[in-house]
Amino acid sequence: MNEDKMIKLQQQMRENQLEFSDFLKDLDTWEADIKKKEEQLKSAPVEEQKLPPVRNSLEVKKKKRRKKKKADTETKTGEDKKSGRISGYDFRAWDKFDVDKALEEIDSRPDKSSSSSEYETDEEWEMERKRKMAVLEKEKGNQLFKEGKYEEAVQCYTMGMNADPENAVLPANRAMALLKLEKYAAAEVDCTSSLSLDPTYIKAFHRRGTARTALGKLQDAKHDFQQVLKLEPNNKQASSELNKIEEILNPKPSPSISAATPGTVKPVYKPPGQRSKKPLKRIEIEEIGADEEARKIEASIASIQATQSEGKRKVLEGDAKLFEKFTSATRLEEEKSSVLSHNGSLKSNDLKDTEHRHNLSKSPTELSPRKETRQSPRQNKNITQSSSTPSTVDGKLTSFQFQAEWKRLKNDNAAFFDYIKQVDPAKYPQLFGQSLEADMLMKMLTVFAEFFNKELNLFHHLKGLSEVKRFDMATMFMSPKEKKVTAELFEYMKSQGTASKEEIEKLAKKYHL
Amino acid sequence: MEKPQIIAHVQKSLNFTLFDTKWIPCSAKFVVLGNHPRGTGALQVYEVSHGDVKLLHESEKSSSFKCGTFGASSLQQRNFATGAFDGKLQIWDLESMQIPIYSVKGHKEIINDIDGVGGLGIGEGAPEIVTGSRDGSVKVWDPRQKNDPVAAMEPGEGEDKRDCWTVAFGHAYNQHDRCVCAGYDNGDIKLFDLRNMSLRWETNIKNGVCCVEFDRKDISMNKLVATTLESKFHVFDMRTQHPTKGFASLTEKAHKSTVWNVRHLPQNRDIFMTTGGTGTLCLWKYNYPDKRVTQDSDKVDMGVAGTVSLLQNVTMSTQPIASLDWSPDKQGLCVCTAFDQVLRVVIVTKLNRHL
Repeated sequence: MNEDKMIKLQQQMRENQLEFSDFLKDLDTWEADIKKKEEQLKSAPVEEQKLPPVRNSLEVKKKKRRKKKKADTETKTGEDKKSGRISGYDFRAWDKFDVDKALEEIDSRPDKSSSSSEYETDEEWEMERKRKMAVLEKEKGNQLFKEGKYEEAVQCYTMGMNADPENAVLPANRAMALLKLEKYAAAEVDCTSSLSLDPTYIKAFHRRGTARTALGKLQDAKHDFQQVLKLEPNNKQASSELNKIEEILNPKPSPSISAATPGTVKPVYKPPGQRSKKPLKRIEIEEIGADEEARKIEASIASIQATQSEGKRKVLEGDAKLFEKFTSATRLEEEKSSVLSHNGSLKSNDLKDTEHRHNLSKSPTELSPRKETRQSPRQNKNITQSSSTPSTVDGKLTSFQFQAEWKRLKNDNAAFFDYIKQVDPAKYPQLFGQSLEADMLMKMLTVFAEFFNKELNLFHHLKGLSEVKRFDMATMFMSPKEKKVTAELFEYMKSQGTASKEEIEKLAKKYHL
Repeated sequence: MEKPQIIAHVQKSLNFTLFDTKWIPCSAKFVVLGNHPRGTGALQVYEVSHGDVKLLHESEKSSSFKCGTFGASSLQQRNFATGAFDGKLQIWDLESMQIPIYSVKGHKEIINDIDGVGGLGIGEGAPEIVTGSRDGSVKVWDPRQKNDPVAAMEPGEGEDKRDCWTVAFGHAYNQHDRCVCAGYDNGDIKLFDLRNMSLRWETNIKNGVCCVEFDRKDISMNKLVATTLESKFHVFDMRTQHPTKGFASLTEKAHKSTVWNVRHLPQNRDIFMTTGGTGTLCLWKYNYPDKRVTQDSDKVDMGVAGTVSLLQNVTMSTQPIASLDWSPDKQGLCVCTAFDQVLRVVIVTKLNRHL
């Protein structure tokens, strides 16, 4: 009996073993088979299944009517409600959804009543649903925006945009929220997409303009605000924004600059296209209080001018032409520097005044061409001092101007000397700045050696030079020949006697003599 | 002689807590889900190959994964829907796991269970995913509709929010009919009819419901197994619903501990495996009664419960076996995960003799 059981058990174990090994073998082949099957599945073309519509999206309509009726009966029979209504869950989500749908249905019923069904196809129904959803999201977003919850508002608008990508209002609204969040680049993109949907959407232009202003794209911003004004000419906000941009683009002179140097008139730079095409005209100046006298003087000047000899007139004309040559060359530099230093507009009164003064001393033949070249009066003033001076110097000479002059005049020693002698030596350190090169220094010294005369206080000039930065460095590069030139200068200086010997000795040391 | 054997074919110890595992349909691969000790979500894909499992790929996500399903995806796409600790429902293309193809913060709290239907050729109608959460709500999602569930079953105002531990689809035998069964921590079982949007039936089995499953999703409701916290499971005959008595059922003791999970054999709907808190697996067979329907004194139809017989039981682990999945493609092949951080590929033989 026991043996029998043992044999049976052994038999079963063997059978189990066999069964298991069979299964394993089977498993191996299955593994290979299923792999093949999987490959086939992957490579097979994707079949478009016809799926039923999303639950509670299409059915909602029919259901809602039923529900409404139900709700009516339920409210009537308050007691039955409890037993009829299911505990443990509620459908508030649907109920809410249904209400919107119901409203929408009421709205759309009059137009749709003519057609046989509400919508021809499921697609249309779905489109309509999404459009409504987008509107809902927009309203939600607007509410959040009002509450200052910009991040959430952006989310709502985004969902709305997903639901209805053809709505131009949603991206524009999102842009507004993004502006509030200071995400200007994203706001700009949103406005652009909004405008691509509705190119006449004023708000989108306005918001894009704001975004671009913040991004520093002033030209584009300007264009946007111009568009706003084109579409809505009396949009005050846009015009004020536009003015602000204009101000940044074309800054007006700040009054402090012009006030700092009363009496000086700075040239106005305008690109050729913007310049006035009108011929310049002479403005008569009336001096109040001294009317009589002035008139007399003018009359006398006129008579003097009239009686000027032909020969002198020719000389003067020649001078004027020479002057033209120089000024035309320097004008660019002048203009540049004036732009750099942000000089303001021409003050016509001042100009008149200075012109008047010139009129007193100079003939109109000389003045008129200069006027046409729009030279700054301050140059004219200098010309009264020495008409042969190629360029002029005043108290406001900048390092930049000086460098430019230097470059222009360095091959013409005589002209350069004329120029340099007007410069206040005390200003050298400022004018040269960091840029005193050995060749520059040598040029100065040779010019001095060549042209020095009594008028020039050589000591002051040399002392000024010695105070320029990098002067030490520059003197180190002096050749023996150059040193000799310098020594000659010092010799002359001693004989000139404008400074004490001690001071000259001191200076000589600085020049490594 | 006829007793099936349950054999651990492959055991693999992993370094994270395992919560769920699912076979990838039409392959020898399966997915395991869980959480790393640092609180991140772990997802790994393995392939069974010649007595071993190969790790094909893995990814780590911000929130721990609790559960997953392929049920709502087509066989071709085989996208994997997951429920996470942070209440997010996400759908992943396992080929490119960088970003989910669908993501929604579906629940305020952890999603305890997930089920899908309408995909893989199982179940008629739209592809849908149902999630059950600790926040007390059960929500049905359609991957084609973003952000919002297509149906939500929540406790009403003033009602207790019970922790929903388990959800299952069923009754999806035509385009319109579909049911969701949900089990709660207080022993409530609720059957929601998605066609009528109503609660069709509810009962209480006096013990936290760990797992519910229909024997088939894609047939008219036939049987429902519900496992409980304290070593019992119930089998309901879902064919005949009595107006007052509901569905006929039987109760069976098993595992001497929590019955964590129940899974019906895809190839034979009368055989199912339960997993226990002591690391045991029990294989059961349901035997129908001679007559499934009788009439009560008022001549109203009522169902008759059958019996269950234990085919085999085996201890696999010392820790609870939290999940188990039968291979839909190979009869007798299943994978299970236990809280000892071991995944096991299990072979059950002689199943065909019980057809």
